Amino acid sequence: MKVMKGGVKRAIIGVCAGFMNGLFGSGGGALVVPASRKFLGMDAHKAHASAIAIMLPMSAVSAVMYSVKTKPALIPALLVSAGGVLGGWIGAKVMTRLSGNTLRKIFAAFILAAAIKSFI
Amino acid sequence: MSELILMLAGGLIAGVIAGMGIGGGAILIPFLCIFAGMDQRTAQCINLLYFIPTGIIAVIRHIKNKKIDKEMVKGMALYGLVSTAAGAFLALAIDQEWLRRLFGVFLLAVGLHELLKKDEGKDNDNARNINRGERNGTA
Repeated sequence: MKVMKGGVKRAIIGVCAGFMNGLFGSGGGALVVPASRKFLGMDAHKAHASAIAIMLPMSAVSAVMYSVKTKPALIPALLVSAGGVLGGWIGAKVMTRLSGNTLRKIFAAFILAAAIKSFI
Repeated sequence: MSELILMLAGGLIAGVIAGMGIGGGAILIPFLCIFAGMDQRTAQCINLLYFIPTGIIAVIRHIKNKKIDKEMVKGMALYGLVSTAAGAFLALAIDQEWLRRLFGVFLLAVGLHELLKKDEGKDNDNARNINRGERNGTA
């Protein structure tokens, strides 16, 4: 990747993240943050902050396109958001590094179980 | 009624883990499908909608703290928007069963990445603490 210019790298990461955002309705951040750290040498905080700014217009485009074809999702989205705000607050208050690492593994296990479930 | 509670619970769990840097969508979308009985596309749509207000709040805070790299945003967002539309078009065009399986591949990658990642040591503490402040801002 060293031979590529920064602009080309950014374009490639952006295109991949956008495609994931549209196809999976998520996941752009999971790609942008590690990729921009690894290939562009961004520090973690700036990568995370900038990733959100990048994902925002993508998510808006995807959400509008999805809304045409999915079941009405506004009320569930409001409920999920209310839970999300509360969860973010709880996470910031009670999470210690140790419990964070343990929880991380538990969630990873859940994600893997869900992945396996989707194949059977 | 119980579905409404499950939606709240799903958001709550996603909110907690978004602060930990794992993509909230990798938890929220399968949670909504498995426990709240939603179809894949609706769950994905909810995750997108959920990200918009929380993302706006996070971005405003990051602009104030000058943590947004303008070059990175410009260089990625413009190209990304075209492929976003293409991705969304594909997600709406293909059979939901196929979308669910494709999403399973994505989950497998995210899950393995998280599971095999080393525990966060001192090096990442700073970022973690800052991430806590951002909590909901990870899609």
